[in-house]
Amino acid sequence: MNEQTIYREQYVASGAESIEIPAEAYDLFGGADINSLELDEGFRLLGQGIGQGLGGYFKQAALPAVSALMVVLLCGMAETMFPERERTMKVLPLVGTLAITAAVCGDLFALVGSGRSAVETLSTFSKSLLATLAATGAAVGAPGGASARYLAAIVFSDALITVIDRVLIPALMAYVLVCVADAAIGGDTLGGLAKFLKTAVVTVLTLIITGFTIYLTVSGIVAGGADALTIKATKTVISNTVPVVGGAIADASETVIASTRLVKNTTGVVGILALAAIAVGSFLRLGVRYLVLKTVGAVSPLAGGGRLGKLIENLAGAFGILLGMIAASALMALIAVVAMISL
Amino acid sequence: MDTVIKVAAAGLLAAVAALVLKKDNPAGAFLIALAAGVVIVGAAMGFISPIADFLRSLADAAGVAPEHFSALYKALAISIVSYVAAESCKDAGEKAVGGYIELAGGAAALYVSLPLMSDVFSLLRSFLR
Repeated sequence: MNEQTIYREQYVASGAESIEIPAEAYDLFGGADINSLELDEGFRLLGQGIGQGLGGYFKQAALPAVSALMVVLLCGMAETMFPERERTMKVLPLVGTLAITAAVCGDLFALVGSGRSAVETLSTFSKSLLATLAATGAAVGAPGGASARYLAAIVFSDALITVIDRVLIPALMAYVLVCVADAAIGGDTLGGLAKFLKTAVVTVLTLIITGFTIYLTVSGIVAGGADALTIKATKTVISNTVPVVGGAIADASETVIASTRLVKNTTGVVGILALAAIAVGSFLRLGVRYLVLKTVGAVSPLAGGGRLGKLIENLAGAFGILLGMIAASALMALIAVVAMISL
Repeated sequence: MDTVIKVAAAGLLAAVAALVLKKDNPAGAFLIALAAGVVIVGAAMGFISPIADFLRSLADAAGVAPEHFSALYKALAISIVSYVAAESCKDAGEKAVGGYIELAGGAAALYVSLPLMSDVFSLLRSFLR
């Protein structure tokens, strides 16, 4: 009887097969049975699924971005025709602000809803997975360690969802409103307040991720010892790629890398693949929108739309904040699963 | 290029004619300046219309909702009309009337953007609920 057979029997005995994996997780694997995949193969299929869906994400992101760019072009053209002091002309940037808000914010608000639901799905799924892993961990003779990790994961996960619901999403909406008002009024009167709100959201997210990672590290739950070069490379990629909270996530990724060598049992593999699949859809949807809007915001001054370009960049920042929330939830769930299977 | 040269020439001629008439017939001078303004802006519309059509076709191709732009087009049209009228009045020495026209133009531009404001407000309200 080999190692994999033992883990497979554990998997069945612990009731892991009864864990409900969300439908969106299966779709990305092209119909393959997620329960029988190895980690490498799973990530390969996930990569293929992402590649096939990427065109669709860009198409969805293009529509609000093109609308915003056209508003900027129109207002820029009008501003070149009339002198700045013309009273009637001062209304045009206000109308342009409203048009961009209508075009972009409808999309943003819809994604806040789906992002919130992705965070909840991650939390619900990871809780049922962690319960099974905790049972498995207790069965192999580490009941104390299993329950400590399970408790830590549940507490921090619940804290994150509560903070996202009650603090971060309202703060995000306030940030959007302040940015829109600032663009409508002009003169950068509310720019300081918008920056403060963004910094506050980023700081809270960073504190939660960092607190969770420190807790696991200090309590000796997760060992270090991963290759320094791998850690450095991964941290550089993450902090440069993920906006807003990339730095904090990069620091937490060291914990994940250190423990991936311990991923060997079937339940853990299924769990990690499912978590990755649940998170990646929302991640890509938001990430592509963030990139596209940032590009439009960057080229807007060339079309004469300085004020409106700044609004577009700020709205891109809102997508970035939402992306940071989902990335934080996914990483916390992943760290919790890896910490559990390292027993 | 030809149109710009013709517009410039017409503008200069009208300015000279108005200057000559101003001393003896200020009303006539004003009418000449106004007529020149209308003709020149009309000629400028010949440049603006194809640009607006191009933007409209771009919007159709991208699948952009037309209601986001109709308020903007209307506000731009109001700006052009009120600008020509206000500047003409200021030229005729009626700065106050020019100011009233600017005020009316601004109010009209805000009025046509009401549907857009209403859409944005509904969007925010539906999310906050």
